[in-house]
Amino acid sequence: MTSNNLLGASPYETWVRTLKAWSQDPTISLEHLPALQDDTYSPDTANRLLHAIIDAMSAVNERWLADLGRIFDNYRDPYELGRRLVQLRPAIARSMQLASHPSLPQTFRDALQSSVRSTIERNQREFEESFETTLRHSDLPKSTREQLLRTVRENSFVRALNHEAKQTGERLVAVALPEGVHDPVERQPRHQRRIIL
Amino acid sequence: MPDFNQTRTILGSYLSARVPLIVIRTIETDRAMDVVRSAAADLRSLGYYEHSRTEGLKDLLNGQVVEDDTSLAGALENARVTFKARSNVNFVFTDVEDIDQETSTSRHLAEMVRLAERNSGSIILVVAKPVWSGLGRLGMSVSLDLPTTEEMAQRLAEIIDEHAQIVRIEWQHSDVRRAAEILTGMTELEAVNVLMTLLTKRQLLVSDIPVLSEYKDNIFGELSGLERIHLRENYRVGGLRQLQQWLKRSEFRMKEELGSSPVPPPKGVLLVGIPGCGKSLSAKAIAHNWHLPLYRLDMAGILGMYVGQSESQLREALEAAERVAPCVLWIDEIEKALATGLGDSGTSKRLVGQFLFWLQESIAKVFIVATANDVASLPPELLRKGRFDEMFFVDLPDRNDREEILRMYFQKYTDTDISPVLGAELVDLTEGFSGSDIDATVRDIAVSMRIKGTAMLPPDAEVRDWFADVVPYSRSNPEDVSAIRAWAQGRCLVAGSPSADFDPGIGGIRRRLIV
Ligand SMILES: Nc1ncnc2c1ncn2[C@@H]1O[C@H](COP(=O)(O)OP(=O)(O)OP(=O)(O)O)[C@@H](O)[C@H]1O
Ligand SMILES: [Mg+2]
Repeated sequence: MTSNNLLGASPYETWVRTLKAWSQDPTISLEHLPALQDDTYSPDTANRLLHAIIDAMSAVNERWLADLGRIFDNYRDPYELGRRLVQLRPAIARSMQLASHPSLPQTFRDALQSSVRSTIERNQREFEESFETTLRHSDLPKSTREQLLRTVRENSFVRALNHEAKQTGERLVAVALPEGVHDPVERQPRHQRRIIL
Repeated sequence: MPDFNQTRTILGSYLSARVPLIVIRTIETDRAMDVVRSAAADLRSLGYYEHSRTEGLKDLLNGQVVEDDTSLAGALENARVTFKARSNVNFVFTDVEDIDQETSTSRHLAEMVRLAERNSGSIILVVAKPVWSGLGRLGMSVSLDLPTTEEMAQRLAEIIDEHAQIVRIEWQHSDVRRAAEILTGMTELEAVNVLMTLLTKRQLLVSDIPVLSEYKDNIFGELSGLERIHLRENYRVGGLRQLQQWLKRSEFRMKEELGSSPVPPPKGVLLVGIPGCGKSLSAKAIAHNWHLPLYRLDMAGILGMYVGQSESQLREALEAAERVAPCVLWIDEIEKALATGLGDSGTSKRLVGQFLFWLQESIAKVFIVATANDVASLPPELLRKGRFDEMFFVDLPDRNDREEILRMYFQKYTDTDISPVLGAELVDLTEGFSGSDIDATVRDIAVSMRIKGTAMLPPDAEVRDWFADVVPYSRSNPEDVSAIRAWAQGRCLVAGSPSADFDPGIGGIRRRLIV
């Protein structure tokens, strides 16, 4: 739902207001954002808009990093850690959605997408590194440390970049849903063994 | 005992009923997945995904990877969105860890099952251990037992056919069948491995069949600390009528389908008694009569050299027994390892605790026949009501039993029916004899006949002398016999025939004092 106060007098103003609101609450809708053509604005206005977008994304990323910092608060086991990591994905998917917004000029989209991608990749890398260091100094048993590290790698945030997201950042489509009838399968689809002579 | 086809039918009905959680219990994940695929192929209008920790998410029916995310939390998030987006979708999960108790994983799964339920979705878990009850209660479960002989024969035949061009095959249909019988009790993968190994010799001979038993014992032996006892003859037990009668009911329960009744399968029986009266024989006879494999757990051998070693050996042995279930597990001289108060009583105490825990928790069809001679050293915890299904005291055979045993062994060793007169005399003469004493004496007579080269029984007087010369254990150790009888009094049921004061009106077995 788009509230009226997000709509400005000009497309530019609508974008700036929406971005401001979005940086506080990345689940608000972006559907109303008007198209921006390369030739609509002076390079100056375009630049300012780009910065507004980047600022909004940075704010979201900041908050996301704070959430990430709290992920270890009284979690019970590696599985719960993994689950919390998965729950951090929507915000990432949402940033990617803004970066890919169809109303943006292609040049913006390219630049923003690669910026989101590299931010998330860096976040993941640094998270893994600092986590590994923390673990090394902990007195947890080796097997638990390995399990935790595996959990962090297995639930990498980078995966969220490829998810098509809904408004809430939830994945739009889970897995390719086969419709109707499949190709016929054999009753014994398992690989048959043969000796090698 | 659900086999492949039964499990498939049950699974199919659960799928059709849109049961939101289906738990398939098995130690053979691949074979269970064949069952799932086969059932799914019949209900193609539904969507099926399969998640494993090695490959991520795949389309179950065409095997294509749809997402290489191996994380379970990720896959469940995926399932959540999919359930919301579309009804009648199924997610199959294999190798999920930590769901036998209440954990984050089992709670998350339970949450997803509830969501699935609202959207006609199903979560199918393929597991080796039972799942946490809070999760399990949300759905239905079915267990896939090890391949039946039928199935094993079919699988072996398939593989043999595949190799008919390159290997000289001597096996006929009946040989395949025999091989399958021997391999029954193994997982399909183990059986296939054994056959494949034989095939590498480029010929498959009838003389290879006994080799299969060796492979089987290797596989079980290596893993377990259990010894397979091969049952060859037709074990006949004389007397012990109350025990036989009680066993009939256990046999019925043992053959009931797991989970089909609220009553768990029988746990087993403890036999205590006078040496040579048929405790060990009964263990063999039970397995033989029930057509189940017999495994012996050597309790004395369980006592290892290092701290903790005994515990792990016992655990492995019990796990192995569950693997080969349904089976009869014979624990001879159970007091040897479980006697508390002797030697390292700490270890023995822990072993008793471990064994009792298993006895209570295990729902596998492992029927225990435990025997004990030195009753005084049996830990009291083991004897409390509800541990074993029943405790029987195996006393010296009474008159009727002795007559039955005498006739049995004369028939067996000398191929003769003794006259009623001689029979009555021998029953008197063998007062105090154990079954084993009677067996040995008749065997001696048979040997003497062979030496003389005759098939004729010696004159009655000579036969009587053979028996009169024997000093049975009960006569040489009367105080031991009274001690064990005194101990058993009130604690155990009598394995033998009910006494005259037995009231048959009750219909069952009555606890009777031993006099
Ligand atoms: N009730 C019986 N019926 C038939 N044969 C018996 C009977 N009892 C004993 N025998 C014969 O005696 C042999 C030895 O008996 P078994 O090994 O069962 O005794 P046990 O009770 O286990 O003695 P132990 O306490 O010494 O182990 C059997 O193999 C069998 O030949
Ligand atoms: Mg014995």
